[in-house]
Amino acid sequence: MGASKHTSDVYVDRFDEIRDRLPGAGLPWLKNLRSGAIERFADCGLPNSRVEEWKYTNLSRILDPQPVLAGPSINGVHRASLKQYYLDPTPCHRMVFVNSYYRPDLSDTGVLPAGLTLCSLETALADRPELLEAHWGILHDLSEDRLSGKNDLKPHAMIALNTAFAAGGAVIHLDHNVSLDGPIHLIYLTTLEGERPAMSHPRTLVVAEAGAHATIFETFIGNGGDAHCCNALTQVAVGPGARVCHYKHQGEAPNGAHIGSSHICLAKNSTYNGFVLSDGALVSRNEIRVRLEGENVDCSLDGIYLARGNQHMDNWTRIDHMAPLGKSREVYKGVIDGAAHGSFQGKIRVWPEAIQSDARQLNKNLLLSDRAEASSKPELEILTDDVQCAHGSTVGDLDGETLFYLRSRGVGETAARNLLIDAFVGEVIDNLADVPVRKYFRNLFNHWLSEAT
Amino acid sequence: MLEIRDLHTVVDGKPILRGVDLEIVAGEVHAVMGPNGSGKSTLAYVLSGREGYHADSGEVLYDGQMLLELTPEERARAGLFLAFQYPVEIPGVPNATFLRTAVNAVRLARGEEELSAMAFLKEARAKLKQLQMDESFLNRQVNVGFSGGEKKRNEILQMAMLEPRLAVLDETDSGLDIDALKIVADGINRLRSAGRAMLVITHYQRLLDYIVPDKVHVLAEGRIVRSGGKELAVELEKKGYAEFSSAA
Repeated sequence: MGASKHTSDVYVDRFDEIRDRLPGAGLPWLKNLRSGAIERFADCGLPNSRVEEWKYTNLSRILDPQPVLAGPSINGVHRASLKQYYLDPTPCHRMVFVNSYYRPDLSDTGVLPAGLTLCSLETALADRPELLEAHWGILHDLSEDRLSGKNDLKPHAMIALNTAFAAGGAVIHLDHNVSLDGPIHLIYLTTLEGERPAMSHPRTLVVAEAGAHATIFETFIGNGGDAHCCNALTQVAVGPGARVCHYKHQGEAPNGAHIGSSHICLAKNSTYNGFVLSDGALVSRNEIRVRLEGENVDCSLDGIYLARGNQHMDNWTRIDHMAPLGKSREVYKGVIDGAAHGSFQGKIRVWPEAIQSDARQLNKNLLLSDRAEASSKPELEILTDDVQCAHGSTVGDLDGETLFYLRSRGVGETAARNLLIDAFVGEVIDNLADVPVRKYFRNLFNHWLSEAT
Repeated sequence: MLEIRDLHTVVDGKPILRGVDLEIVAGEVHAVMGPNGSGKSTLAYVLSGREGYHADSGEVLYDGQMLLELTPEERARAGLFLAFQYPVEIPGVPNATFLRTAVNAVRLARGEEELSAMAFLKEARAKLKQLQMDESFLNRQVNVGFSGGEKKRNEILQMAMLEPRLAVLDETDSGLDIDALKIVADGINRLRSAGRAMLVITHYQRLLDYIVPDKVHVLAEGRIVRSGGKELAVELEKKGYAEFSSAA
């Protein structure tokens, strides 16, 4: 208990200091939600490796014992430093957030089509609080329901912390049948608060009503080499027959920490294509929960993690098939170099109602050095018959004979290695549906490869 | 062009090559024949620089350079080519990418400009046609799902694209039916030229009906025990290797 209890006390004290200044402080439902959340966080403490869902990530290694909560200061961030993250070709609707606070001066939202709401959390709390009340409420009493029958709140502690402190982020709402022709790009930059590394809690809500279609791209970055901690929470609700492509780049600063949680709810006949690429932060954990709540949902969830040096990248996913005829495809691939550690925990649960579900999961890891480490823990929980489920997991290194074959054709050793690494993960990138997004990740990956030592 | 002098190689603690001497001049095709386990493939691997196959003594001069001091890629860039007995499958890498990367790596090393995608495609198509290979070969992943014959043709395609000065062909006839053998042999014969030498490693004389060598060497128990003209291959086919094996 000791140390982690003390740390959570610090957060409770901070909360008491600023609770009346948080956005939406005048809304009774939100006030209750936030105080409930901080109490739950205080009860749980920071998740540690004794919590099954967090067994690979030790938060005490990264969290500042005296966290400085980010405020709405200007922080010296300029457009020039953001340009490298822009999607090409534009147009798209771009919102930039610094330490979770919306920065209209750095954003280009463009012309918004009828039926699209795209605004900051603060604005949404003023204009459409009912939207937030409905969706934030969903997460309020969520606990980890394990098959053992024991429901555990502890894995959700960081989500509760986000709910308590969330002061900014994007709120996106698409009316029925609204279709966007360009992606919505959200850039979340976390940097210093004054002289100290800041902790930010960005909160994103995406609601696509029936028949709507949107591409959402979240980029999480830092500012130069500054340390920071970003505890992000993104909720996506995809309505009947709607389709959302949801991309995420975790490219935080080299000394930064990223704790990301995505919570995806899918209604009948909807489509969700999720993709996450992680190459940033010293320590990161990316958690994705997808609920196939309606019938006949089509879901893909892919990920790439590129770790080197002393980086730690933890990927945690859970897909719940809760209704008949759902299909899910999950491919996570890790490339791990240096003394880095990459991990994957992927749970798929097929509920008794979810007959004729079709779920496939694959995790493959490529180790590039003797000190690199991969952990893989696939879990299938199938509570009905009449389903198709498959999973696979591999850890390997570059094949010496293949390398020799390439070198015997005149290809240098580094180029040969890069060609094989590209062959391992490149197709996941090259198969992404959105051209500007594919280009973004392709450039990123090529750059990562070129930095190999 | 190639001078092998008293080459000794130990693989996994076992002496395999025990004093090989061999000289090939430009424009010639030499065949190395021998029973299984005589060290034929080991010779090919030592020449191409495969890991685990080092010369323990002796030397190899290639155009006056100390060949064994070069990395595998440096040897390839200097014009050495090994056609593998068992070509390697590379999932995820299209044949075209593989070929173009190799061709351009060699071109750059020679101080030539890289081939553009168009120029590469034009040249690759011409070579494919000569080897009676379908253009879809370029889009397929390197050797993945290829038949034995397709893999061997793919080796010759690489050789044709890379235009080596010295080609070492390791059991290129193994696994080929007679039609495929003819196509592969034609492809090899087309590459014979005054400036290019070839070392054809084979167990059977069959391949040498199509690729007629200038010289034939018998490798047995790690040494060249006999050398002669093309008629030596015919003799070996009749008599077998028994007389060269101390165990026999």
